[in-house]
Amino acid sequence: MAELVRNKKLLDVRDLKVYFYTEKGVSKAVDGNNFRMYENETLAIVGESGCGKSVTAMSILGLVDEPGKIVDGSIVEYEGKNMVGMSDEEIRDIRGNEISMIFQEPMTSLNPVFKIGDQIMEAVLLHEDVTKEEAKARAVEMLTLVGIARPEKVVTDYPHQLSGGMRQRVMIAMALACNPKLLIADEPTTALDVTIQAQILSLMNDLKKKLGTSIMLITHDLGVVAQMADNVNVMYAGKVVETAPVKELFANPKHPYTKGLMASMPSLNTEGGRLATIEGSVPNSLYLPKGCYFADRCPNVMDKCRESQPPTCKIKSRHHVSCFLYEDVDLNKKEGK
Amino acid sequence: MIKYILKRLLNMIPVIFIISILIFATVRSMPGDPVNAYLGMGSKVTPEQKEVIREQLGLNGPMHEQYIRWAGRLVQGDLGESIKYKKPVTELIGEYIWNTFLLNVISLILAVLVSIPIGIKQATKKYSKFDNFWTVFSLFGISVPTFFFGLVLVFFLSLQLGLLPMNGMRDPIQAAFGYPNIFANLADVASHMVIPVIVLAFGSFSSLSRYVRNAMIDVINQDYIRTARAKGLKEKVVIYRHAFKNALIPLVTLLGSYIPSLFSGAMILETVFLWPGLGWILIEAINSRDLSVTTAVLLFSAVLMLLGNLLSDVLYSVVDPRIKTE
Repeated sequence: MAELVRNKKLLDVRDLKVYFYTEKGVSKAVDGNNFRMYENETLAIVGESGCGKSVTAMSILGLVDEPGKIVDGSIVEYEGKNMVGMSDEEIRDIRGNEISMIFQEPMTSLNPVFKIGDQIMEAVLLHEDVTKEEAKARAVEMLTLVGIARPEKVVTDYPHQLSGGMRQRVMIAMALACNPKLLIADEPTTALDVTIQAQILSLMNDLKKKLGTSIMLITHDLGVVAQMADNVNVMYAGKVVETAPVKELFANPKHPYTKGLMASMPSLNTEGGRLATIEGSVPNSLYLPKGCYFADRCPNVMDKCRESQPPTCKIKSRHHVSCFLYEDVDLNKKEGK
Repeated sequence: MIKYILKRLLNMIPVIFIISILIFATVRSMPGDPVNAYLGMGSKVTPEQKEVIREQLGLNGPMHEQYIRWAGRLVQGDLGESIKYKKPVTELIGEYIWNTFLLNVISLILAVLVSIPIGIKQATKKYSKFDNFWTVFSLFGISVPTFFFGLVLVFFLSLQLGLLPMNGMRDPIQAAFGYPNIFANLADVASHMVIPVIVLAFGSFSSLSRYVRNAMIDVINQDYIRTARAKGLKEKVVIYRHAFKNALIPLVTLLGSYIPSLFSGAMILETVFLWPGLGWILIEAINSRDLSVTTAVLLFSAVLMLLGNLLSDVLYSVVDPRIKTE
């Protein structure tokens, strides 16, 4: 069972709840998330728009904007410190240094009035005790690492002089400049065209091997998941509904929502006809139902689904699903936990 | 860059030409006879003598001939002679322009220094009590006419409390007998400036702080601000370096348009406070049908406006690397 020997724990998210206090009411964007991340691992968080993927990622670095607030739960990093409730100064020390983040829109994620080199150097100068020359050398080195030709020239360029793919490479260079343990990538390729997407993804895979950086990949693209991830969290309406290693998930999806996602993915074998869809839409996070949030769209819905929240059932080691359908096969129960 | 500026300056020539025709025609169409104004009420000059004076003042013949004569002298740098002050207009402008500049430059610097930090803080604390207070304050500043606010200040500070002089630029008695030293001279001018500077700065502050606030709000919601925060930068660095440098782009354009008003004067304010500047001269000239002064000051303001636009565009390319002037 070599597969069970896991790397060191990097991040432990428990009961994370992030609520947005709007004028219309409390929107529960993330409502009780639990997951762990390990070193040298790529964890994909999958789900449709508005399911709380990005908010989960943002809350790790304490970047949730007003009126959002982490109301409950803990995010414990590898040294055992809880990042929820840290002082601004402590969390700034982690941002860009131990955990960095890249975003969906490379076109607007770089500051248009600063040179590329200065933007990369800024993080290095902030977190490490280096001279300006050393920081500049690091910037050039990082640009080379992310596959940018003529890095000495690019450090003096402004963002508008680069293409979208180049800018995302710069973002990656900037994020990795301080050699973080974890890179959070929030839909890093969604805004790029397909060929560039593939390049950026394989670059991230290479860098993960080279630098040993773990990646938390937020995406709605199952193709990207299959290509990149070691483990997958499927999120629905602010909760992780299923978590499993990538092969297990694709081979053996359990949650009706995961099954629906898999079915709606077109494949080369699909002959004409309409694509499969999941009927209905995500419940409004202002008015969440009492029972399972997926009940209204679920093909296997039972009466108890509308009554209470489903339990988390263990299907296999490392494969968990929150659904009443699997109560009977729940290993947790059988093991007497 | 130099090539660009030269090109823009050349482009200005036809614009100035058209503006000069408009100004000239408008000023000459003012009701009232400059010769009568020149001679004063109840003068017993005969119509024949009036014609001689008219010719001396260059006011004879049809309008287009007058314009050609005037434009010909203008090209040689001669703006004509003031009927009222009996001296060349260029000399007159040179004398009064610095008073206007002094007043405006100090109040603009004051307004900029105060409005930037307040506008930024308003943007970072949108809809807070602080923001709402300054929003109302600047709305007040934009709505209240300068002459009214000026007179209120004069009423309290000069008439009631006797702290500051009412109007003028210098104390007439002190000025007539000579100042004991340069500091007394400066102190006298400074005390006369306090109220007009407050009034002017109040107005500029009100609109500037709104611009700073709105420009900053636009920028703060941009993705690159989130990137800056994700790097671990302090909030101060995020706001004052990353956000403010971007907010400067629209602000610089705005400030460029303030530059001409530094020289062209605030007519109403200078009249209310009897401040001997260009605005005051202009009002006086209009009232006394001093055509050459009126035309010259108006044309001067128009040229300044054009130069201000050019300055805005040049500054724009300085603060925004995406804009190239070539």
